[in-house]
Amino acid sequence: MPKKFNDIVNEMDRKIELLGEEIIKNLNLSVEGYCTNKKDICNLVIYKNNNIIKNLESLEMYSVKSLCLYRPVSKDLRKLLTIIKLCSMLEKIEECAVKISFVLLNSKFNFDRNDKYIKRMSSLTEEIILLSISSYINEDINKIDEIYKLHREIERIFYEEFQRYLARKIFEDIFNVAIVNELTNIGKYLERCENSANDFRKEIYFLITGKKMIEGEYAKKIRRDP
Amino acid sequence: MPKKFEEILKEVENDLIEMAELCADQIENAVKAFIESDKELAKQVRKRDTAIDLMEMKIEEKCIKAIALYQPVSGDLRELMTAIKISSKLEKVGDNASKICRILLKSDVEGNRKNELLIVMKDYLITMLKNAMVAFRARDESLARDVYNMDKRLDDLYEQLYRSMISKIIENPKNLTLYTEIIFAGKYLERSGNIVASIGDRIVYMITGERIKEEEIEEELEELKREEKTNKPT
Repeated sequence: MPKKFNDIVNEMDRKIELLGEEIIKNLNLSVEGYCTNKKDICNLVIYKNNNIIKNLESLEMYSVKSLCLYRPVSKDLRKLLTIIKLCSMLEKIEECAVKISFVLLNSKFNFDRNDKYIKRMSSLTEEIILLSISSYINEDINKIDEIYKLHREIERIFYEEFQRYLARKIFEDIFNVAIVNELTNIGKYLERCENSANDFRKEIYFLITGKKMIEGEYAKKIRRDP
Repeated sequence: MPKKFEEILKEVENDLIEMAELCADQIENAVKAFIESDKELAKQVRKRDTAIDLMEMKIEEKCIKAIALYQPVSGDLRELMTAIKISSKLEKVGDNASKICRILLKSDVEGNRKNELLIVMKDYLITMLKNAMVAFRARDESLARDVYNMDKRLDDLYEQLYRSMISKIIENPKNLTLYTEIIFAGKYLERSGNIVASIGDRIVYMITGERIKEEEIEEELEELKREEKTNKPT
């Protein structure tokens, strides 16, 4: 007997949740591998990536197949489309986790990579991914503002504090250029993960309200009503 | 009389191409505004970003309606899904152009932002975008693969830009903010390149049902296995 549409959707939500957890684990593992200079950890990240991407693709296919089979309309249709989009966003985050590992694997330098800023940014990135996933699972529109505020905070840290910190590092010692180059790349990938998590916001809004969020107007609203 | 499904597909295709052209214009103008420190032009680019957002909505709405009304399967469904994905990727490219302008508008630094590498990166990105749309329209798998691979060159250009800015910072620390701004502008171009490359990946998927990414992962795993074998003590 074919499954009920609601059961299918619940199953997909559970998969999103599990894959989100897997991806966060892989991202943390990648940052750990980088910070501790352990190439075997970075290799493990790449092995795990294979499985994660395959699972994301099969989830996306499952959603597309369900579109054909159940021919949903209205919110049910939005739900499947949201899942398809979230798969792409999660894939982007996973891709960045792998790229962080490749920074260490391709590096010719040997130095202490245990950096407090990378750890701080990594933990904030984890926080925003978790917030985005839980906001989606619980269809909690109130959390959207929280995601946006956290996103602005991370952006501020990345564009102001982190850049000042890197500049200071170069001025302290010219030979820090190599490590600054690597840290910039790691920061860039973490910021990209954060950006993808922030993109969940628009999809959740669309899923719940059926309306599209216009970023400029939304930012104005938040500024008016902090 | 309701439109034929083929007509809707054609409309979506035309809308996507129009959106990509708008994105290319936005990138062109954003970089122009940035290097010429033209804040007026930067404001215009920021305003026009809303038009790209609206186009994304229009395309997505058309695709959703077509899925709901015509219940397409197989290749037709893949085509609509690809259109949804491409439109949201193009919207991201538009966002990045707008972010380049934001750097300029927020800045209170006076100085020469003109940089040859930034211009080369911009031209290269626009070529990638145009090729992606040609591949999409002509269903050209080989060109779509080329677009995907072009991203590596853009990464190299960004790396060069980054290194040259670091050297300049060391030579002239007083201009730290100005050089950092150029690095950020380059970063947004590089990120856009990454997004356009993923459009190439999606077009290949639309044509063949297979992703380039999967092939890459397989290659990476093979490489790791080979390395493990070489490193194993005998």
